[in-house]
Amino acid sequence: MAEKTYSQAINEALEEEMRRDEKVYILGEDVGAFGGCFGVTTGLLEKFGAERVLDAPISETAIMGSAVGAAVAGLRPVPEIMFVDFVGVCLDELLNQAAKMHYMFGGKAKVPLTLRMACGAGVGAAAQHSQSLEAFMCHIPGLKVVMPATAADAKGLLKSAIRDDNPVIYLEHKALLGVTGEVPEGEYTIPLGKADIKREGKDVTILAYSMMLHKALAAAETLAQEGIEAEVIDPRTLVPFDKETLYKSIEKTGRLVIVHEAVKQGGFGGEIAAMVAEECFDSLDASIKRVAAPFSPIPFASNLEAAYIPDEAKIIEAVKSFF
Amino acid sequence: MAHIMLMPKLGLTMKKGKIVSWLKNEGEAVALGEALLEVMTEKVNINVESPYNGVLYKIIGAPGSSYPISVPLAVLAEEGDDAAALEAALDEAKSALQAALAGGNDGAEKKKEAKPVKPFGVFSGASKVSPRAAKLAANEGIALELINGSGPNGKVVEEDVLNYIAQVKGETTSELRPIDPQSMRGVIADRMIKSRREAAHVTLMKEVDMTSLKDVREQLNALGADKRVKFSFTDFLVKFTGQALSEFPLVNSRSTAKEIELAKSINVGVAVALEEGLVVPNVKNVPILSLEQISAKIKDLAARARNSELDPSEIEQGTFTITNLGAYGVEGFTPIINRPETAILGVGTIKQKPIMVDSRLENRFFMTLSLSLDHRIIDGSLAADFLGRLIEMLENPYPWFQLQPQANDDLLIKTGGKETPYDVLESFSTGLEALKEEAPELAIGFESLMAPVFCEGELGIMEKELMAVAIAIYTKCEFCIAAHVYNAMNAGASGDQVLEAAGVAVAFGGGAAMAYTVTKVRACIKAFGG
Repeated sequence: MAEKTYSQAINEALEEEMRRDEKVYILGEDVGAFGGCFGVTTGLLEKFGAERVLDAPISETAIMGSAVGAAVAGLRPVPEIMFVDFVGVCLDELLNQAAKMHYMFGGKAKVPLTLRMACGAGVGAAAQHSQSLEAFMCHIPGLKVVMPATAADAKGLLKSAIRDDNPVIYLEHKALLGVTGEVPEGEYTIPLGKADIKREGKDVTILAYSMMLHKALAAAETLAQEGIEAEVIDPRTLVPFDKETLYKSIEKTGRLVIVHEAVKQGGFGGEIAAMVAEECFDSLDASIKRVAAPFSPIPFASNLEAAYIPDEAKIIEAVKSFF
Repeated sequence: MAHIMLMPKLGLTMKKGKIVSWLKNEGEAVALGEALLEVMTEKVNINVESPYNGVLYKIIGAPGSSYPISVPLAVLAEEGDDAAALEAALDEAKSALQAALAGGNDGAEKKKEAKPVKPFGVFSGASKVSPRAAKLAANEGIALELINGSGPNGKVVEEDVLNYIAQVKGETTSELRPIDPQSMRGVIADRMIKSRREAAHVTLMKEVDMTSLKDVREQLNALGADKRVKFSFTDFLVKFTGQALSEFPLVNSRSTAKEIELAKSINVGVAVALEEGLVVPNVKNVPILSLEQISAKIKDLAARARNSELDPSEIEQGTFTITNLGAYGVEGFTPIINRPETAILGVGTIKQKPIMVDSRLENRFFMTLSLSLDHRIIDGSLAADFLGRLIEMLENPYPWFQLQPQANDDLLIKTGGKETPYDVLESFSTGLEALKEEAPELAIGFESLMAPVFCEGELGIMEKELMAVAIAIYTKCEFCIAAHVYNAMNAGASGDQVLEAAGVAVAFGGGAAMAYTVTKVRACIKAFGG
């Protein structure tokens, strides 16, 4: 296995899927000649030509609208919205068209599109370019939501997303693009809806995804030095959600901390906590803790942004409240 | 150059001093030998002289605060010192002061830091329970009211239920650790049980008045301060035990099942507690050693015992053992004889107690000695004699060291019957103050009556007060006597003048006035005259 960045892993998945299936194409602002705003689609225009790597006008509505139409007509578009913060511009195309068609046409229509969007704070991009809006996507029936944290997961999940016959939201974290990891060469897929236990432990379960997985793992290392063995679970896909892996872990540890970068109020952590309380209550030996951002726009000032984003210390504090 | 002024050692036993006041201000010049500050030690106030010529640059020791000896109190500047050097000296002095204060009182008794505690529950049952614990309790049929919670805010968690179940079943959560017979623990276990089985253990306990020995120890430590010799109570115990053993050879014996060996030498072992167990090195031939040699030997043996550096010969051939649990606050116990020896002395903690001595109440220091003996060899009466002799020496140690008892007024406990004239004054004035709250008209009325009477007029205050003394004696009022003798002497009356006034009272009051004169008035003159 080769060491690759998260960004290279996404690029590799796109290239492999475009080679495997000629119906796959990508479109978005600056994805072609410029190689993508963050360089993720670098080189694909040269390899596949302008018919399959389309530089779109600055219109999210046009990008999403054309992609939905093409998908229903039989292609497999992989549109890119540069920042998830801009998804509001094309929300009708996403929530009323893409998400509903398969259901409303009695299964006769399929919408095989994968919408890639960059999310996350930590790069000084301010309130309109730093959000984590996954809870928003998870609230819409008909959409699957994928949030990889590692380079290998980024590749395996994107390939599965592209092969899925209905819309998949693929959220890549800006601050993870340069993070490296071992990535399997060639054909490598990860089924959607399968969590991964990134670290085993017996004392407490920490559920974290995307950027927060890395902070949870660091916190777990520190906690281990103090004799607290944390089990760290990355759900990888929020919809569908792998309850079984989480519940099994809670049965073992009796304690749960949920970590996400999105604001706590209305965040997906609330959904997980409710799920656990409803279905796994008797396994809990302590109340559920959530570590998430405060209910505020993301500050631009770097010191405020750092204070805003959940970190290792906050995770440790939450875990220690149990002991 | 800049000098750092330290808290001086103003007496042999001084450990710390309190700054009463600084006699110079910052920036003021001070000559070598000139009084710089006033320090209060346990006994006296002393003006401390400046050890340098220069200027008092900065004061860092605060008036009213106590500091251990040798910690920085101020920085003194000399002519030509530059600001940077002074600031550097000041920083150094401040950090040394902080370090000394943080590190306790520099050799003075350090209090053990209290370990954090998790408070015990007082009442049973908890108001909160985790779902997991609730389910487990329900499955096991256990009423939650019986379980105390250890989770946040006293919540019952799974572990509490598991512990309760284990407790009900008579199980204890435990870990099995094998004892290796070759290990130190194994050897100790074997020797202890053997001793218990073979020897017929009897323990005698007796209290010793350690007040005199405490004084002797302080005197000797003061004398030995230059040589850095510091004696512990164990040193004295070893020495006196050696002496007692020489007078009671049977107690200094070793025995097997068939024979008693009366040991020729007196080798007193001192038990040393190590993390992995107990070891008893012994001091050989105690009677021929000086106290200083014994002290040095014990320190050396204990230090090397802690580093596992003892020679086997230092553990063998003991004839008697002393084991001291006093440092742990233990009073009396029943030590197990270190076989093949036939007796062992357990030493308890030293405690202060009030006790009647020659019809007065004194503050004295007591310690319990616990002597375990092998009753097969030593009878109770012999052991009691041995213990009695040892205690006799411990309680009367002065002749052994050619020392005299140091006067110690702290021993006497002041009681109501032994009120000083000052106590009498004090009780009247505090009573009057209290009365101002309780019955202001009465108290203020009294004061407004007294004020114009006892003021300078055709008669002087002293004359009026002397008249009052005579009348107070005649009226047999102890409080009035104390107050007016005090006022008279304050106004310049001599003791003789007071006594003459008392004579007037005696002329009228006869024997009763005489009785007050020889007791109360004399006591007041003595107290207020100085």
